[in-house]
Amino acid sequence: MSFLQQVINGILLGGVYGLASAGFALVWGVMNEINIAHAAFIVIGAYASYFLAAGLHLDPLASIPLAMAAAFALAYPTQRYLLNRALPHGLVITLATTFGLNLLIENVVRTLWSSNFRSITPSYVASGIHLGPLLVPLLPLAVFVLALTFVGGMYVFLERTWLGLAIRAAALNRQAAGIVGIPVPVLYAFTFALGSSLGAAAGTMIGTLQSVYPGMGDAFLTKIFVITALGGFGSVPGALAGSLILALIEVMTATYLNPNIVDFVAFVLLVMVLVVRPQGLLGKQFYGEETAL
Amino acid sequence: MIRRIGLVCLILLLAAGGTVAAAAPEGVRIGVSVALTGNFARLGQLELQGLQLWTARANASGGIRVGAKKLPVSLITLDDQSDPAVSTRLTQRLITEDHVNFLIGPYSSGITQATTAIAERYAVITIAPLANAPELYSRGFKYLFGVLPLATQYLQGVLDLAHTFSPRPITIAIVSPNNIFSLAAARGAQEYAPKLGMQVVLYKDYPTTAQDFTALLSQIKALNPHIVLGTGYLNDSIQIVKQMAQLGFSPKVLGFTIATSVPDFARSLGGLANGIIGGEWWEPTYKSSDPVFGSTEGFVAAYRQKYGEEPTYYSAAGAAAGVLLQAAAEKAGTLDSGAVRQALLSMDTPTLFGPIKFNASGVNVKAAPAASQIVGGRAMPVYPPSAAAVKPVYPKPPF
Repeated sequence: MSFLQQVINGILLGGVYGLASAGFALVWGVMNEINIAHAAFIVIGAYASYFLAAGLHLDPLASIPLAMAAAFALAYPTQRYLLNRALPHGLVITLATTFGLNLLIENVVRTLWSSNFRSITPSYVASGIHLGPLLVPLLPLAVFVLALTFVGGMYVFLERTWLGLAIRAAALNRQAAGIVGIPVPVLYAFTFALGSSLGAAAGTMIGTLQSVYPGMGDAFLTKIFVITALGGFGSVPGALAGSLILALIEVMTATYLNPNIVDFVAFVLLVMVLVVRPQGLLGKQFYGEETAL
Repeated sequence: MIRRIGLVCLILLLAAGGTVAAAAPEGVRIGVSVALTGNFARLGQLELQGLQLWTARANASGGIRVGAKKLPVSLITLDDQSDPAVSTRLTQRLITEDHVNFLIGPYSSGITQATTAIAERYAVITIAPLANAPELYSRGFKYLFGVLPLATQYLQGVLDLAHTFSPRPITIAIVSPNNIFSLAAARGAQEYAPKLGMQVVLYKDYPTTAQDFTALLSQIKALNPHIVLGTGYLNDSIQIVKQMAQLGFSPKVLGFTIATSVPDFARSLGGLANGIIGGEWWEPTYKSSDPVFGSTEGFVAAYRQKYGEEPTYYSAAGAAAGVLLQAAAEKAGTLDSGAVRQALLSMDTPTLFGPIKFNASGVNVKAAPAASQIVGGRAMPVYPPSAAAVKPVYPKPPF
């Protein structure tokens, strides 16, 4: 019974991780861009929802579209006019640029709103569904369902819509995509904005489950890296799979071994997976092999 | 023109030097290097405000009575920038160049550990207002005295309070982040609980970077202890409360160390914070007499008048450090380190900070930690009963 409860805890935690890493994986897969600033968009989403909840008493789940819109509006020009220029100079330059961008945004947030810890606490925070001796807490369940919806929606979008196909085409071969009339720079900006708005949605949810402060995104960045590598670089469903695996391992390690060695176990597993399957569990090797625009 | 200004400065400098040199034997020189910038700036400032209030109060009645004479107190204040290396240098300077008679310690155990190593070498007494890691007092130092009880006692007030509840809570779970100060507080509670007939059913530490506590909290929930204690800082304690609520687990007593006294805690948790108990080192509602301020109440009133805000334990400990020094020097009748040290060791006196008595290691063994409880979004004193502002709520209202 206690084991099953921990499985539930692990799966629900995996939902949060999945949402936090889906956007990161998308940007990496399509553009071969390691976006450290993804952490900053998590922060932006959380603060947007925090202020909407504190000022207008807007439910965090209802404020997610607004938080995503804010992140989208900020992220689109960032890729279009800044990161698109960095991309042709290679992976390291892009990494350094997004690293700087992350520091910049985080410190603007810190200057505007201080380092105080805040929290989005909806009235139903303590509610849950009882299944015999087991408890499925309501808020984490809502987060999990939303995470599945977003990641599933993203998958359908990439597989079934014209825009999604164009994005995938650009990921496969930038030059050819340009030749057939796909506006690659605009598409890149759109992809980055989409990934960042998923980060913002994750930020809102992390804000309800945990707390809101300028460094909250960075706390997730290492996990996002592990998940992306585990699930496969650039694969959105892979990010979800990686998230569930990591979350279950974390919860089980903390329960049956020692909470202090959670990261150790996660990294040992990562190294083992990378030795056996360098492209990750669901990774596709063709993603993001070119960098020229 | 420039030369003339230089000449004037030189004359002024000589004149000033002359007065200091002449006044030196006629006063008590107390050195304090404390954080006024950097990480601990706010807390260092609060400590200094308490100390300055004591200085002003002591000097208003002519200073410290040493033998037949009253000697005015001069406070030499330097900024250690929250940096142990800077603090070490400044302490050296206070002793060798400013020739201070006594030192008041800085904020934090880490920095105090550095400054007292220097002071001990020169046999200069340090009264440390805000440093209580057990490691500091196990070095065999002769000239270090701490105002606060040891960190291991942080949650004793909470446990003592829980012991008064009916029906009595028995089983207890303790969780702590994996750092030296928090672990000391957790260990202290673990060792103290059985003395009250309580039974520790779970004792676990977690990494300081932990974000998700559901695994740990589910284990605790399965054991269903009456009391849950956490010795974390602000962020981890907030997350523990929220995730506890999500898991539908509300213990009868929920207590923390540092978090509850920070207003952010209740502000960000809203209604979830109600009934949570916090360990405290001091309460402004103490009914203790004091040789300088008359009583705790007298100190609180004087502080309020001078600074326009309520005193916190940081300021109270700063003022108490001065009060102790004054009481010891007056008892010794001299400013000699050895004699004042003997006076401190034989002292057993009520102060604004509560009763104070030192053991041979310089640890304050008389002060009993207090407890507060969050009521309507504010931390209110609830223990000891003599200092309680409201009646404690038990059991804690469910989330």
